[in-house]
Amino acid sequence: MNTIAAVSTPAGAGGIGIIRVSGKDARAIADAVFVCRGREKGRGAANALTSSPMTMIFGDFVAEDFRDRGYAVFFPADRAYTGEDTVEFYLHGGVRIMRGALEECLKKGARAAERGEFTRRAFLAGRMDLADAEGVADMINAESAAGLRAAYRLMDGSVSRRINLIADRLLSVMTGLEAVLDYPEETEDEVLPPLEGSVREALADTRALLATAKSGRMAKHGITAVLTGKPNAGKSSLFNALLGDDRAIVTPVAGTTRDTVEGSVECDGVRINFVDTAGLRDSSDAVESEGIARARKAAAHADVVLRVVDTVSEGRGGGEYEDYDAPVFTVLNKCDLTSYACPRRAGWFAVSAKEGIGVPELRRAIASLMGEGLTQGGELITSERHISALYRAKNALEAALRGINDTPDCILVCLREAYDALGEITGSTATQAVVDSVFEKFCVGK
Amino acid sequence: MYDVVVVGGGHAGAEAALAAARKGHETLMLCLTFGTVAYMACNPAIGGTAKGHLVREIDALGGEMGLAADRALLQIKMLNSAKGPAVYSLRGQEDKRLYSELMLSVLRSEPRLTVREGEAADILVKGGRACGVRLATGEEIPARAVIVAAGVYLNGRVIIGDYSKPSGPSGFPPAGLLTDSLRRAGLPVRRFKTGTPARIYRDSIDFSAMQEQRGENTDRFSFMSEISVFEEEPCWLTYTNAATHDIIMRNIGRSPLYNGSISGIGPRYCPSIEDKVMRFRDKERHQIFVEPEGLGSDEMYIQGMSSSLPHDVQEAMYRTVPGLEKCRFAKYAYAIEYDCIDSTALLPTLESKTVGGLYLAGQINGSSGYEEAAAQGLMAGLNAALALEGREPLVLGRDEAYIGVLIDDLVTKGTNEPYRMMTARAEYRIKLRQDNADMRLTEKGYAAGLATEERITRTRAKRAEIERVMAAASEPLPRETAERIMRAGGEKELSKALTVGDAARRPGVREEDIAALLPFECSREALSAALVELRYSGYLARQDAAIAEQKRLESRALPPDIDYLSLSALRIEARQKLDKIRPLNLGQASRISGVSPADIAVLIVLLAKKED
Repeated sequence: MNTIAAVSTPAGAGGIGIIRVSGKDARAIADAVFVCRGREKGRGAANALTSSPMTMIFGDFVAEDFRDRGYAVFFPADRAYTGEDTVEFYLHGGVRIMRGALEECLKKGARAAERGEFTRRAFLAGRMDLADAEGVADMINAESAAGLRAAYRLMDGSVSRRINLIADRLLSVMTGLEAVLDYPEETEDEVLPPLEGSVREALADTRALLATAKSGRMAKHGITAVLTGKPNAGKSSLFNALLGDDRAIVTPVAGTTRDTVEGSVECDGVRINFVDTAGLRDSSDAVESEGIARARKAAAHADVVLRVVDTVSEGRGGGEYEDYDAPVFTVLNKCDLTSYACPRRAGWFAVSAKEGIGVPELRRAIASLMGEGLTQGGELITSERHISALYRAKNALEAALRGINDTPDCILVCLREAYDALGEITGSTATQAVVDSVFEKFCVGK
Repeated sequence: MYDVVVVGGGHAGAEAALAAARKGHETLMLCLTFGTVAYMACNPAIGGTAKGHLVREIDALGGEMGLAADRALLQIKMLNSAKGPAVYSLRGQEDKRLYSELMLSVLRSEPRLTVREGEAADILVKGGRACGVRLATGEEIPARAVIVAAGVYLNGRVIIGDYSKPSGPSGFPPAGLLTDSLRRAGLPVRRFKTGTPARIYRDSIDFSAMQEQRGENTDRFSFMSEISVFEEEPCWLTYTNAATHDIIMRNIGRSPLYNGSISGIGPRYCPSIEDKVMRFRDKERHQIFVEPEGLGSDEMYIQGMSSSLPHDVQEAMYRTVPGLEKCRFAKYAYAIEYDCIDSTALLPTLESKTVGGLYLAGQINGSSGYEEAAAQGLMAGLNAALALEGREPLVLGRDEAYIGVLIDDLVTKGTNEPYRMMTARAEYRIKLRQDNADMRLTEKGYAAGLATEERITRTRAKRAEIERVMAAASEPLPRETAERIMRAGGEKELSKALTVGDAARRPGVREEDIAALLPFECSREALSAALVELRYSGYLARQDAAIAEQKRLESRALPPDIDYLSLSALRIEARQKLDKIRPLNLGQASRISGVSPADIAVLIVLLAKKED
């Protein structure tokens, strides 16, 4: 495989920028572009790097038309992320410097890395298994602290362990049924695990794990909170206050917000994506009508809907309620202008967007939706592959329960399907596992 | 000059020779002695779970085993009749001498087939192709294809306690010359072990201390057999007890299995009694079935008590079993070690990967059981013949037949112990039923030139009947009839129009009830086959989805030039297995033991890279 290079830090200016070069020519390229302090170019950068692997070596990156002072580190193949000789350059993170330094490496024989190619090479080199690789991708994509924790747990294998427990439970009940099917005469005395109870437990565990998928998705992509309400309820003011930024245009004219406006903020380690929307009213204006339609669509995909009420004109905003799948928080805005007491109920908040009253509390309440236990210690399913495998297992187990009074040959179709679905995560297939397990657990054979 | 020479006349050799000859090729079948032809060296029974399926499939393709088994019956049973049609399995007790004689006469009366006594010493190979065999006598027999079905005779060694001698099974002579020839042909040779229980004189057994086991009035193995009356022999059930186990435990040091003098790998599927007692110490008793070796035979087969303990220990432990207190031994139990090959050296046609025109079938491939052997023999004979005709081979898929599962397991996964068929090995079990073996396979057998006109006519008539029932199944029933059925099921209101199919799916509705609802006469076989399809439709659909998924992997070909050993992403075991087996596609790769889904993911990533 040829040698690849890429800028490993995000695009844009930063204090430090990293160029990573991986492949058998990594050291030769380093030799050509990097001069250790006190040495001449091309005279020993590779030697210095080789003799002190995993060590930052101070020096100059020398491109055709500029030099930058920084560090180079050499990772030998057996210690490198990609499983290949790797050199990393730590330079100043200017856009021009990064682009120039990368070009210099390409000129000296590296090829620009494709998206995800370092991880793919790491995977192909056997430095990580698939679950790890997914964890790595999640880690790269994780946009908040909670997302990072979820990704870390996937790498840690604790999700796999919980899935293994479900698979083991299934295997035990399948083994009993299979032994009886293949050895009808020799298993007459055997006491088998209770079928229905075992399937129910496996299903309950699978569902519980799937339930965390929603939190997992929130951890990964953030919580989407959509502000809805009547025109002029102060949604945009609240939106700006929640973001701590003047993102949305605020005027006293009802119906100012037409399209949806989005902005994100991190609160208690959770990313919240706020969506400001057009006020809901009957409108003959084509643009405003489209805005209202978009508002409804946004609310339909929300993790939480903030129903913003102008307490001055609407009181507690009885009357019309729109129906949403997501939980609804009722936010009584402009509380500084009225003497209404906010009902002390969960999901009700009195705020003043203008004065900033109650805004931090609202933000924190939204962040806490992810669930205290889940963000701190519980397993989170975040990988699409895991979610899809668990869904298939769940469906198969439900089918098994629907047919629990059918003959065992039928029930086993569903149980095996469930086991094989989980096996995509655990790495085991029903056919082999069952055959081995039958002979381990039962005294059969003539 | 023969077209095909078959080495060995056991269950595999007999089917192989018949298949080749019936396909019109001049065939020679060599056996050590005529007495070894289709001889049941172990239990006097054919069929059983999964094995019954194999017999039906052999029959559906045009093989002989089912027909012979039906003619030598002592009793027959449908096992698992309460556990669902997918696992219904026929098992017949057989008169083993009659079976062997019947098969020999079929072989001898087959045109273009010659049966001869003779020991093959060498497979003749020229230019990478098998071109005949040399006998121990020096005679060279040229042939265009060679099928080796040598069973457990190669360097066979029988062991009883610390006594051992070179021998084939049941006192037949061993064959010592062919192993080296197989090695020269590039086939890895290894050593397996199996065993058989003692034969006890019938007149020394007290049957009043045992439970009688009779057969049932049920189907026959062959789709071509008519149900006929035969003279039945009962079997007898008894149990071991604490005294038996105590004798075994005290003498375990004298077992060659436990003191290390047997090196061969034994099957988990046929554990010796000492194995069972040592491995499952908390089990208070083990079942013993006493089975007749033939109609009125002097010898009884003591199923469940195979052993390689010394003769005095055998006598002591057998005599602790109720009914066997005064038993006299006709033959002692023994273990037998033999040479076999690593079956992953074979193609899915059972042809050697290294020598063209050389096929191997049966126990020499590491399988165990008459049915497993016969199935391989049939496929080897058929594929050798098809190759001679320049035609495409017949390779059955795992979703088409137990035979497909059996051969794919052998050539793809390989086996570390004598391989026995089990229904648990078939992923698509509810599709691979014994009732529909003819529907699944007879057209294929006919197209391959093996199944006869008579057979295909019968199969097609049955298929037409089934289709008629299936069509009628969607017709609504008259209101009164529907209401009567609902009432019988404890339901009062008729919520929607009831069809024959709906009625069939209701619990408690019997075959006869449905037959009465049909506006036409229908054979019992066709009706029950149709009803299974109707009742299983939901599960069959689920399974079809899984089959389609697997087919996607099968369609991703793996380039033959992949250097697996250098793919460091694969675990070492996976690298070695993939290099050895060189699977044709991702589907086959995914079934290799030691190749995990993570390894498959590596291959997928690798293929994606190559396709870029």
